[in-house]
Amino acid sequence: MKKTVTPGPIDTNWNAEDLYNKALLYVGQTEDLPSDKWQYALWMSLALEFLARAALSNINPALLAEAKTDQWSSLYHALGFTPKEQKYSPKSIAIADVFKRLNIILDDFTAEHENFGIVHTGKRNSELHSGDMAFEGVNASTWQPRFYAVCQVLLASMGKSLEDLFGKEEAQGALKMIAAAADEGAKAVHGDVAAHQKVWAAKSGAEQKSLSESAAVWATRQEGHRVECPACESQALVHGEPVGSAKQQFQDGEIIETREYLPTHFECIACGLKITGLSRLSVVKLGDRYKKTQRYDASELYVSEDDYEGYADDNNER
Amino acid sequence: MGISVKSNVDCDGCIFIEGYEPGRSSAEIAALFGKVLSVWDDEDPVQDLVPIDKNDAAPNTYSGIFGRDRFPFHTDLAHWRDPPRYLMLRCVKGYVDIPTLVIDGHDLVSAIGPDLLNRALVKPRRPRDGRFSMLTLREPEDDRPALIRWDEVYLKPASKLGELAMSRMKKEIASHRVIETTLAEPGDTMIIDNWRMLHARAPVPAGREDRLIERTYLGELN
Repeated sequence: MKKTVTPGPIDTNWNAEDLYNKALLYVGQTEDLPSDKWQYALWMSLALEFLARAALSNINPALLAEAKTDQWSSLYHALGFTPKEQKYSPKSIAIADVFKRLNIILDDFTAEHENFGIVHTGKRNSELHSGDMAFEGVNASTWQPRFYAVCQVLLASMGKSLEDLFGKEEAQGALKMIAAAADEGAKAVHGDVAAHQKVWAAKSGAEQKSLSESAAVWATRQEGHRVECPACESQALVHGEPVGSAKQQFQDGEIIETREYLPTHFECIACGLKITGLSRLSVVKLGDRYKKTQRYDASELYVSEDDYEGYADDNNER
Repeated sequence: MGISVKSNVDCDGCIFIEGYEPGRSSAEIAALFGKVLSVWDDEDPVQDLVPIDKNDAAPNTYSGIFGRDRFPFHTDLAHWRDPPRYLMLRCVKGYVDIPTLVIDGHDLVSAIGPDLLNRALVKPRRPRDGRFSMLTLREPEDDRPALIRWDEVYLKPASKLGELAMSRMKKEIASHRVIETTLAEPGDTMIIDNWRMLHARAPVPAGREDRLIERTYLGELN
């Protein structure tokens, strides 16, 4: 362009650094509080909101702005411009939408992280907007490992670590909690698998064969990624959510589109085993990304109709 | 010139070049060394630094607070989100008994610990554009050197860790080894990494009111 419009600096409402510093401020409020106090959980839930908003703003501040067809001043503002609307007050998207967006955009921010974020900040809303004492009597061990795991992913997306936000000692403790929770999860999943194996082993050979055959037909017909059940070895399905963008390749007149998926849940209809969540799926080696490939005829997608088909190339010299 | 300004500043945090091209202007020399910044849109990028008596200066300036006494150690525009990376000081009229004092911020970080400084929240003492923006005393980044900001006048603690870190910084600065450089002759030039080094002006004795140092900010060095 001969003339480009240059936006100004990003306002503190939307600026990732300002939002991160607010998370830092709220974490600082917990310094002298025992982790089983409701005030501790409340400050941490506030810190989580600002950390999530900082991570989204770090991708692009405009992602935080509420944008409706006739109310786009906040979007305009988040892009670095000064809104001209009278009595303008910036409006950002709800925190649940922040977590949803992060799940779609950040490869490492899984549906489990999104769910935890929504539930934890939801509790915070109950604490602040209702008579309910949402954090009272809630044992820190029930939320801290997942809280830190979510923070770890959000911080990593901004090139930061748990240490940057929580300090060295707290970060060391957080890492141990994350590892211990993973161990606990692993034990629970192994327990589920063992229980289903036991029930499966008690069935007759004929019943096992019939169930396995039905499962094989089901797994072929249903949407999902086919895997072997860790309990009964029948064919089962893993479902997931897409990560990254689809990769397209042109081959033999066809567009081959490949997309990677991160498993979110598993189901075997032969023995009835169900596992939900990437961390639990990883324990039984069902957490690997899988690919889904679709083929299109290239002409369907890209070739425009030629109104002068059969004529020589356009040539304005003749 | 035979020396690499950038590699010297990268290594030591600052460089002093004696009597460098005294006949040329600060604007020319600064452009030779790097990318000149105009931090205030409507002002000349080269600013004159002259001693001013307390009563003659605006009360919110260092001269208005300290007059001709020693200025405290600081980094320039520490209360801004993005302080200028380098500053060039160039002597027009100098005196040997008014040295520029410098402390290496890396030493302070080593003494206090990056963990505390990275999490120490501070805020400008006055709102900027009607707002208070929180800042940290040290900003580590993946793709650039960590930024250290310090100004015990223009920055105020914004959290408990901010209070702790500011008091630790004051204590460290008070007992730290100071590097003295004298901009005495025309053309004497000093380039300082403003994200790393803290600097201060020595007191200005009576009769030295005509001291004139020109300051130019640089975004990067060649």
